[in-house]
Amino acid sequence: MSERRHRFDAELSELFGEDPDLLQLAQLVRESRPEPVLDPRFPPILRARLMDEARTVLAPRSTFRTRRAPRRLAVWGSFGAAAALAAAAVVVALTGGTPPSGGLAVVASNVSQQRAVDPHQAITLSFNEPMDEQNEQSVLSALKIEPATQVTVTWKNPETLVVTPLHPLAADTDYQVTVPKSAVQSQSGQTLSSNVTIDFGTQPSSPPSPSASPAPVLEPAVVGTAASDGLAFWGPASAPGVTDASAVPATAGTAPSATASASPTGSLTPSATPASSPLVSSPASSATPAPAEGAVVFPDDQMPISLSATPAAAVAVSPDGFSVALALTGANGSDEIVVEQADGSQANQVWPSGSAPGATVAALAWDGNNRIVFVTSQGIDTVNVSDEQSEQLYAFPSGGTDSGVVLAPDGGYAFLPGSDVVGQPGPTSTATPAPATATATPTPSSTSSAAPASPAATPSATYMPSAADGWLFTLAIAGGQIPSPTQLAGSSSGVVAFSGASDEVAWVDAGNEAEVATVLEAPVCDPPAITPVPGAPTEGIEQLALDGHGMTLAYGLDPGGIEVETFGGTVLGTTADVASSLAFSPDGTQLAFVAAGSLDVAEVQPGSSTSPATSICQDADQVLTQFVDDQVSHDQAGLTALSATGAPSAAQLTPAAINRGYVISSECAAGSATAGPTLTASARLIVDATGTSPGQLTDETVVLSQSGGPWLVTGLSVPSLRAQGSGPHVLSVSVTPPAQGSLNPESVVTITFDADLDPSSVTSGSLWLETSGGQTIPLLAPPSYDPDTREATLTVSGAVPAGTEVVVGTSIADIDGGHPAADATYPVGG
Amino acid sequence: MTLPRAYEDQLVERAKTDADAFGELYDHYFGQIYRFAYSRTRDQDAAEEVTQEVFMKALRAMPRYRPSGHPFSSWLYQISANAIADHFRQRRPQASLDAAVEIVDPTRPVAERVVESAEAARVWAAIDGLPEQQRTAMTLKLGEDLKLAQIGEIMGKSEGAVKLLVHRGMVGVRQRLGISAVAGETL
Repeated sequence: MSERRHRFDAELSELFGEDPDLLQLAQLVRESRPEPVLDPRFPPILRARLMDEARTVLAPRSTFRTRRAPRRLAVWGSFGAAAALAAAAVVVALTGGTPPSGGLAVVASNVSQQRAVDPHQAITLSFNEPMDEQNEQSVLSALKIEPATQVTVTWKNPETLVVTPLHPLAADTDYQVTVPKSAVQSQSGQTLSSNVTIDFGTQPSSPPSPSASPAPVLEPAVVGTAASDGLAFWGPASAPGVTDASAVPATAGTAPSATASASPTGSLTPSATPASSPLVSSPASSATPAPAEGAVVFPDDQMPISLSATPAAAVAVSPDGFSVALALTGANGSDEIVVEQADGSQANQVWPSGSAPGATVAALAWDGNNRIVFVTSQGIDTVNVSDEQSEQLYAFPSGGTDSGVVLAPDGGYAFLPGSDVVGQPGPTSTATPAPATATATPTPSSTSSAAPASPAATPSATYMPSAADGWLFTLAIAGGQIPSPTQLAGSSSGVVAFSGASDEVAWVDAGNEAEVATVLEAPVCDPPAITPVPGAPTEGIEQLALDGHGMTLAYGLDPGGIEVETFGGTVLGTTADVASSLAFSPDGTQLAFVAAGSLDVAEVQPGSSTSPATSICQDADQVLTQFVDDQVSHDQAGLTALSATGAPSAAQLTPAAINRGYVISSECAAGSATAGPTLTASARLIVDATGTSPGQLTDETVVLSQSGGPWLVTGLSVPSLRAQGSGPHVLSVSVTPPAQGSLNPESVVTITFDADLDPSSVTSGSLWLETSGGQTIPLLAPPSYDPDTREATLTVSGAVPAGTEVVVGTSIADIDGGHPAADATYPVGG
Repeated sequence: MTLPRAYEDQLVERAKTDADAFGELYDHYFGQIYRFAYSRTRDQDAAEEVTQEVFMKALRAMPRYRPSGHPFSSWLYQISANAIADHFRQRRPQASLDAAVEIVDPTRPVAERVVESAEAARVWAAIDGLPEQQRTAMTLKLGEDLKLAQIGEIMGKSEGAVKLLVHRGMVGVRQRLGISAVAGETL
């Protein structure tokens, strides 16, 4: 905890920038914050209590499958078009069970009077008498819910029954819960006089975006030029990013800013304008900047600062963010280590001191704010910044070099290739080479972060190192026992990286026989606890970077491209850039790298990107939503305004009785030289049930086009209304296109249902894809179904062809055996 | 350590029905919540009491938790802030604030005055004397290093309002420490 206080907090500078006195005081208050006194027995004791409680609170007491009842939907009032989809109004009708006088009754439900029920919400029914909780099982077996949904029921108290869906309810869906009159009994023996039904609807989810779920694409912003082998180091905490080796600020026309941000549409785009200090004011930002040598620091939202006039072989920012250490080539050809303030001032050479011989410096890192650990051709040294005293921590053996040595950002650990280790032992993980002059602290405490857990990650004891594999050394010199260096199995690849907090180390596996993972990760405090990184690229990993604690990894690929993934294998972003020197920002939201001679920064945020194809129809989506709104509200003027000349009359085709509607799916098609883009969508129009008539629905097809002007509806087909009937209904269809740069491109089509499906009914015979010509598209695997989300997924190789439709056959079934009345098709994006 | 958002979202969703997932959330956030509770109460027993209450409340509310687009920790901090407020409503602060802020000789550099004559407890005792909202914002910013935006989410305020609270809080601390701004003074 103590290290946190020394981190640089840029927000404090911004907050108190005009009052340096107050800023200093704030920093001091921050640094003097109380260190908590903690009884080590307390966390596990509390955890045990929580787990006991959790088993009661979170675990269902019993589960049952509901039985299907005749569909009976709520009565919907008339409401405005805009509110129709935005609020997805809900009518809760509590009917039946009212005794003639003084009998048992359901007197309240928590969903009554609500306009949009949270899909995660449990439903409570309150009775007017204490109930016989002993008959719970009969309640479980008798209760009915439509659409078919797995629920649990518990008695909160003798008067209150709680019905909890096993999975969140479907969005924008009518539900009906029925309590048969014989299902419950009060303690006094009373029963309901008739069945009780509760009708309600859930709030809508966000309308589906046209055509596709987004493909995570990194869109780097160029912030400066750099040599192809230059560094792009992103300092600790909020420290500035630094690059070296021929680095100059980018031109105003090509370099937006060092800060990337998400666009309003959620795509990954760099900031469109320079930061507060325009780059145009920099001498280096002329239209044709001359390459300048030296190291440059890129503070957030500030003008780049030149740190040195000569190239730097290595750069590192101090933990507090105030100082930058540079390895610069001196006049005699040897390297010098110079420490400067992050604003480029107060440069001071700290090594070598006096007339001591210099050497080349391959890497350096800060161990605290006053000590620098660095790698020379002879070994690993350290220098104290304040008194410039240096000492050697480790001497390379004969034949060893600085090549391939990797320092952890905190200077406490180093990875050494096998050739740099004295007296290489045999292939065991416990053998201990003898460092020539190493002094070290014990390995870090057990409080260090362990390798992140993942369902797919299985720690293995089968990783056996070979003689060629490298070693993990502890370098701290606070005295004490010298820990045993540990050989990292498979690390002879030499592609090794530490996490920003120096608590994890990962490496590309050179090919041990016992496992198939390509990347391995382990906590530095327990290197043998190796965990394979699931989902890592299967080949061609040339570069590797970890975020603060190894939860996100960036892979630089051969022949080109970067892939950023979570430890669990979720792809957060890709780019085709041929890059080197990958480095995450401290918070993991930005990735810096050198590509094609420039220092680039790309924002990395999960789930916030949009494919280019989607953006083509971005405006069409809004028009489509408005069009359906206008249909629901029977706004003839609005429908006319949104329809192209010559298009079918929406006012005439839209059934007069509908009072609800939403978009199910859409497909965006790019335009040609002679025609603009089009959006083909499927939307559902619903007539809600009343006390005297059943619900009806129809799935219409809407075509929107753009030819130089605004998006307008050019085609509309509205089949006749049909009874809602039983069985599952499709709520939405979306497609995730292949990730850019993916080695095995594939698309995933996701179909969301309103009812819990019988998983055995989800097959290629009940759910498939067809081209516009009616040909079935082969799937890479049988359809899968996730009961948590009620989503079925179809995976195909490559991109989904234009004009593809997903077909939901009548053989698909919900858990109560209900089937759709007829096959239904929905467009999916190509 | 910050969990990747996608992973955290999955974990939170699982924790609605899975005790082990909730346990993982507890393991991850215990340190932050305990530290926050301790920073505000500076009493081990009180910090334990508050921390237990926070996680028990969170556990019972998990099935109803809805992601707001903000980190899960924001929700825990919200519960914590309420629990701490309840704690102080039931128990008066025990530290003597007046005794904690005796700093003299305003001509000496701020750093020297604070570091030498006001150890951690005394500096933070000055924060205890601030109004509740300032105290919470100050602790979250200077004790927890949270971003102003996240503090705003926790406190239900705009980022600008949080800036104002922290700024006023710092001015209040300076006054309570008996320090007046000295133009041109450097550390």
